[in-house]
Amino acid sequence: MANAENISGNQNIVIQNVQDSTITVNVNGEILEIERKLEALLALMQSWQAYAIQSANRIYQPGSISVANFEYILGQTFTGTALPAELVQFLGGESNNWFLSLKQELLKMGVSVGNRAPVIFQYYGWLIEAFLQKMGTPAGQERTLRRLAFMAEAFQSSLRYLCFIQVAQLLKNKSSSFHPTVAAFLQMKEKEHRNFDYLNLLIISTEILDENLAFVKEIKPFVQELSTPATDLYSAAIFLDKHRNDLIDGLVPSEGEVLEKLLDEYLSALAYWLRKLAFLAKYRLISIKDINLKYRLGTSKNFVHSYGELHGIYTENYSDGEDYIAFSVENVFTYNQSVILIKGSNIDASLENLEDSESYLSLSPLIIDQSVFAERPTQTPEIYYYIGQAAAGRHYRYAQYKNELAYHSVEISSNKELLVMPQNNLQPKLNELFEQLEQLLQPLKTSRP
Amino acid sequence: MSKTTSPFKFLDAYQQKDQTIFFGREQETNALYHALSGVKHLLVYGPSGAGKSSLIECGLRNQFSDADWFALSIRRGSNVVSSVFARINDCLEEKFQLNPDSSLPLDPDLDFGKMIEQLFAERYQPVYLLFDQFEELLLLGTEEEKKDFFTRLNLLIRYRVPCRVLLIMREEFIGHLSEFEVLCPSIFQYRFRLEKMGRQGVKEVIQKTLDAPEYLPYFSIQDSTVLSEAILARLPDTQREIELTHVQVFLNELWERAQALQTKTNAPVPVMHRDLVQIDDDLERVLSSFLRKQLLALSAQYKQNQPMEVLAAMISERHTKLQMSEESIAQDLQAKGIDIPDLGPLLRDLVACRILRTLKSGLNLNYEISHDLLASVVGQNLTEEMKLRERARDVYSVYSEKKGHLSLEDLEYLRPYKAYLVYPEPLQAQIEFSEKHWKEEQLKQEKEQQTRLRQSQLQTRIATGLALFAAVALVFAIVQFFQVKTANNTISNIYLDGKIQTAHTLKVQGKYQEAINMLTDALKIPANFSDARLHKINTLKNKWRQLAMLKQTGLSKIKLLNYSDAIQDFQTMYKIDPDETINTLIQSTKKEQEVAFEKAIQEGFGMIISGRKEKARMAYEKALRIKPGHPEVIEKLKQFKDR
Repeated sequence: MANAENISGNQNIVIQNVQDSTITVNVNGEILEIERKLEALLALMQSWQAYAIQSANRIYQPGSISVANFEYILGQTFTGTALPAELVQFLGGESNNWFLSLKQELLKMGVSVGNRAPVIFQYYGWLIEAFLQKMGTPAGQERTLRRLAFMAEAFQSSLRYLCFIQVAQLLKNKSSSFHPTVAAFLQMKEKEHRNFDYLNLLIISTEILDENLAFVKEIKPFVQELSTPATDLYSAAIFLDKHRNDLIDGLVPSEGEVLEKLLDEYLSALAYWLRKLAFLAKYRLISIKDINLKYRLGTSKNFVHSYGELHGIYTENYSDGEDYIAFSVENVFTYNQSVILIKGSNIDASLENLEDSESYLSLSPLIIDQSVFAERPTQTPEIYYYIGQAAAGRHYRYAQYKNELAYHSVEISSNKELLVMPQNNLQPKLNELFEQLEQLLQPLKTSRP
Repeated sequence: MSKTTSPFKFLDAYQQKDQTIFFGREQETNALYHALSGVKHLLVYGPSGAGKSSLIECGLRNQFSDADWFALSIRRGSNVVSSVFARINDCLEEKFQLNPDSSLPLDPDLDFGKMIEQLFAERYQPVYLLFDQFEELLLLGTEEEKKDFFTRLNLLIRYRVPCRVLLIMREEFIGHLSEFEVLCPSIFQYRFRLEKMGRQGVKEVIQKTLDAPEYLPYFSIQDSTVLSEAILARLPDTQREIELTHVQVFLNELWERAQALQTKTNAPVPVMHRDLVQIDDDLERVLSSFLRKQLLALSAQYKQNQPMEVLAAMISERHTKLQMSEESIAQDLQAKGIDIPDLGPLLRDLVACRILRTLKSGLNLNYEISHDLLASVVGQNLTEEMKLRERARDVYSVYSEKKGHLSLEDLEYLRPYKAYLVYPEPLQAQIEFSEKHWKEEQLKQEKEQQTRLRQSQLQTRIATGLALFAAVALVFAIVQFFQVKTANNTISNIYLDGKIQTAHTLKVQGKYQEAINMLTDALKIPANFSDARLHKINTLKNKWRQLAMLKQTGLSKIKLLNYSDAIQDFQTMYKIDPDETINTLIQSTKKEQEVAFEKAIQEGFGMIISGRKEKARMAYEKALRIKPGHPEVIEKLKQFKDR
């Protein structure tokens, strides 16, 4: 399909059409045809001294385009709004039981799973399951744009989750500078995060991350499949992303046959996408609230970790009055006041293995548990995720993991944000988080994208 | 909302849909949201009329997406534990089997947590249990019910399901929670206090309300600033905090005045302006005036006091509102001997004039007074007869706890109250049993007296015979004379014995002055009593005078909270002339001292929790007056001084 977008800005190249071997571009009103190769596109940019390339409604700087995301960038232009034919086979059946299709994939991952939706969803972790659950609420079951928004956010939150895993490793490796795409993510300004291109960030961050150092090994092949145009995963991702953007821009009708069809198609694509993400069941997200040293003369050093599980079904139903559980590890400690991802679906067994520093990864400060920064005692985790920096001043912004997608220009009053400032009078413990962010993002101060 | 009825909230709490007209609580809404963040239960407390229900139902509710909020409002009903089970089961379309009578699960292992887990599995929304008017449990619940609830609440808190519990209550009762800390240790740990709004805040609320676009179809406003100032001027300058309920009721009153003028001026909508506020308007007494006005309107249809009798039946002894069915109101009235044949229509009329509201509890329809502040106004407006009935209710509850038969003094004390409130059945049985006992005692005494009298009469007859015989036999006249004199003295002595016995009975009943009077009268008969007898009677009179004096002094000391000295006085009485009545007096005073002390301590504790340190200090000082030298209280007061 041809790209009908207008040229935005001077010296920009707009991708208008993509054929098997050629790309049609519009440069300052002049229509050109070039080979469907990265080198050809980059050469064109250089010859025209173009600042950016526009594909669909997204802009890409020259430094942020690579072999990894080249096909993905093109795909945004030529993929239509209908469910790709390859995925139609998954369409249909009882929409209320769609989650059963996830069960088979989860079983392949070696986890025991029942037939009830909450038990199946919990393997994806809070960030994703929050929206899968919302789809099951009375509001989520009504066939309205709201249901579509919940599904779109289930997709987006899963993408964000993968990005956080990859970017957290890049931050851990303490590079002296960031890739422009990663830097753009870390420097998102207000409202940018809603439309941020997390698919591109996932592709790029996976490309630049050393495969041997990758914590979640399954992401690499997943991303390879995702960035290959011939695959169903590629089609599904583009479809899910495109309709999410259409929803935000108010391009999806609020009722009628188009919406009805789209709801079914979107659910099919989402189910397919989630099946591909079943490998997440092999990992568990937990929040370390506190670590206390228990050490007396003649005893070994024991580090008592107080942790909260960030997935729906708990190991034990009863706790000591709060949802954080104490676990003692001899001689070893992890990151305090951090959200960490651990290998293995059995938390107790995974925690026994903490002496292996490769067995866990801290996702903080990209994901934080606000409860651990509270001045008063708390009982349950309250998860927020990083959404960039404030336009003015040194403020870092976080969104509550349950925040819903605002569409048709209507803001959602129940969406919550958290500002981390140099001085946080109501929650002084956030001052330390601010310092951590400042140190981690130090390279950004010297290398602006 | 019809355009012919007032658009203001009146006595109703703000709901989710009222977000655009809920003003002045943005800060508190945020604070409440953050207080709830990361916790599983929260105690929300504050004074009546501060707007706790509105802050939760409208302010807090709108902080959550409907996909993340499934709230169950729960009131105590007849038993709070049954109400929770019934409410959740209702949402689960009766999936669990509950006992039809008790509403408790047939499966004894089923607890709140498991039912909520099921509810979440069906709806996917986090569950919020809102216990509004939670003080109902503390004031009206049985000990067993309270213990059961707090034990189950503690289990629910520990159960890891997406559920949060809000206990919403008036702050003056939070002290009562302390005794349940042992069952639910974190009960006080997470709390949020809502204060009444200050003058400036209320002024802004009035102004924003008057200017709100939502009200445009209902009235026009000339100058909202001037009108809000005129409304506030109807409060004493010294009053810093204001019940928003009063403001709502007053706005309603002004709107009705504007509506009455509208018919004369033919304006399209009522016009709200400052001249509607009258010189004798009083914002503080607006509810009282509203109640009077409505009752006056009902007086044409119903007998005098009937509506007020119904309202009096619907408040607790602490003048808080009670949730009651028509049947339970009828039973209460019947117990008081009040007959209102058209109770149903009267209840509906009270609902129509917004004094009562209806609540559905399962299939049952319950009624309650529209607001606790209105319930308090009802309490303040009770007639003398109603107050005496209230007092009778309190007295009966105290006497119902007494074991064994009641003393004659107790029976005498209870008797006047019967005219205001019939005895409850157990007390009636106890009174009958006691009266029978004392009647038997009296008969026994009378029989003994009669026996003695018959003996003395027989002796008199013999003496008379002898005297006659002496007249015939003059020779023996002198001898006969002495015999008759002796017999007369014997009669007088027997008479005196009877009087002393009765005086003793009066003394044992605590009627010291009557006993003394009886002895004094007995000595007035012409007879020559021996010195020893006269001395004995005078000793008795002196002893009983001391008893009367000590009792009176002791009772006066109790009024001044000087229980310890009063107990000492009563103990001295016991030493002087012991009996069971004095012993009971000592024991009941000791018990009363404990109760008063505990109440003062709880009040102090409650005030500390609610941050009112000065009132807390006063409560602890009161406790120290009740129990001088109590080390813990002294320590507490020292802490206040140190601060």
